Amino acid sequence: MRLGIAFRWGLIAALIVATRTAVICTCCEDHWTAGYRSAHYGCTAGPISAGAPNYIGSTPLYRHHDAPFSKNPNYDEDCHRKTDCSYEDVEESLFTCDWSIEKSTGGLFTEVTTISGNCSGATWTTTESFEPNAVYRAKVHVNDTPGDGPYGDDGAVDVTGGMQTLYAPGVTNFTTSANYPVCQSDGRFDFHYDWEADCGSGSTHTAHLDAVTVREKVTYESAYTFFGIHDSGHSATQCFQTGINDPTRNGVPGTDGAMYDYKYMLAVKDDPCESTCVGNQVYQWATGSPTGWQYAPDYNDDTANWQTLATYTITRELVYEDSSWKYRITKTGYTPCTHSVP
Amino acid sequence: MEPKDGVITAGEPVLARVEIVNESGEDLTLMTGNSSAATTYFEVRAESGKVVAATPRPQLNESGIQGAPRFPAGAIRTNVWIISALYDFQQPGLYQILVQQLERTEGLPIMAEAASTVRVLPFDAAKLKARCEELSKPMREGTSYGDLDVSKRSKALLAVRHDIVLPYLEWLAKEWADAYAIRAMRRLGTDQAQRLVNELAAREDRVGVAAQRALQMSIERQSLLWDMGW
Repeated sequence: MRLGIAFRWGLIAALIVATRTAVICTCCEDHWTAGYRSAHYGCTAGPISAGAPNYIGSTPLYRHHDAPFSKNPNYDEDCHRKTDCSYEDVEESLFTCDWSIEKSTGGLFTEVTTISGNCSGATWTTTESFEPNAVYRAKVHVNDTPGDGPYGDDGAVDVTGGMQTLYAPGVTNFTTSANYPVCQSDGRFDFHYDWEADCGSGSTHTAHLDAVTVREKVTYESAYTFFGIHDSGHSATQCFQTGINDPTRNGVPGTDGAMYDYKYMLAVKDDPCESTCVGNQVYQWATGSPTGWQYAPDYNDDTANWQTLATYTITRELVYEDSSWKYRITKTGYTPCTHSVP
Repeated sequence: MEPKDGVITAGEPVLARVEIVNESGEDLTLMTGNSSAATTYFEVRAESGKVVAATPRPQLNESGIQGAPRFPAGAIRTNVWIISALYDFQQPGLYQILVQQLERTEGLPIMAEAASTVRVLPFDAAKLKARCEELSKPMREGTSYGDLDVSKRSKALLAVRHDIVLPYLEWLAKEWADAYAIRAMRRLGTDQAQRLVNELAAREDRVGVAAQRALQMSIERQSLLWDMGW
């Protein structure tokens, strides 16, 4: 009998203890909410406010040059329910930032490549592989850290900025090299020219002229050009006898940074006579645009966007001086090169 | 050489990477020639020893500009040449590719020389397509080019002489308004290629402008060395 009564007391005591626990701890588990809820008194939690990227490199931005970006900080608050069931805003401390580069085509931006970076910044190091004369910008895909509490993840957001036009380096500082021209003993007239890239001085930047061709184009009196060949001995009074391509074109890569221009004597008839052959020479450079941005233009392609570097008149003459026949090459602005006809 | 194992199927692109090292101990000026004739000279020889293709040799008495880049002591000058623009390797067989660096002086003495062998197997459309895909992929996906830049990849595609290359030329034309890619379509001379050219020329955008420019270009080879990657 006593056992029976004791058993009942045990049951009643156990029931009373269990009931008191449920009433005291109703918010024991951690709970997070990513966004605003009106019932979460005191919380203003909202979506991620992603800081925009900014271009912090040199301007203009050239192919082959790095494009560094910084990024403004991100901000996000999530709502945390405390164990006493009250709420508090807690700043998100960790984000992930995935970078990409977008290109504008007709005003619409599309991704062209991804780059390595973090939430402080990134650098686009492959600018040489992308079309110049186009607008690019950085895009950052920002996400908060997963697993910061049940239902506490904000949706990822994309933020863009740092818009820049990418330019193709071109030729600048085209100059006659020191100690040139040289009138060689065999009658060859040597010229030497140097140039630099407009994206910076020195060989490092000259190497950025991979989509540049430097060329010469020489034209002659058209009346004596037949099927593209200029007759240098074009009348009975002329004693040259060389056929010259008209126009004459030659090209060298922009990356060379320097070139010679050799002017040789024209062939002369056995009986020399007073003769003159005039060529109009222009040095030019062009980038691949608009015929194909990635190529140094074909030196024969007159449709490329050739820019003039210098123009000269080259005059070849046979003259009788000091009791003998002389061959003279004159180029505008330089002392002529004169030699006896062999 | 690419392919590295020296074996291709007919019509596949063939590229040669040529490195010139200045071991003289002095800073030099490297006379490279011009786009008419370079001092880097190539020959393709058939199994019989017959020269089936060669680049022009410099003419010493011709007036004109000549490339003269500075070549510091110890420097390595690297260039990739598209050999399949010199010879199309359409016939199966064993070929030798010879490269010589010539000195631009009387007699054009040989400063350095190297040779490589290529075995050409019968045409395989899948292999050619895979090669075009491999060349084009970094351009389309914006991924790493490795040591083969965008210009060389593009020119290697321009040199392919089969309609299999058309989608890749079309991408160049539409993405970058590449007039040379459209000229390459014209050079193929096939009905499919011509239809594509006409379609591009009818566009009223920069691609259409590029196509019109390409229609003005001669389809005859203007510069072998430019086609080869000069």
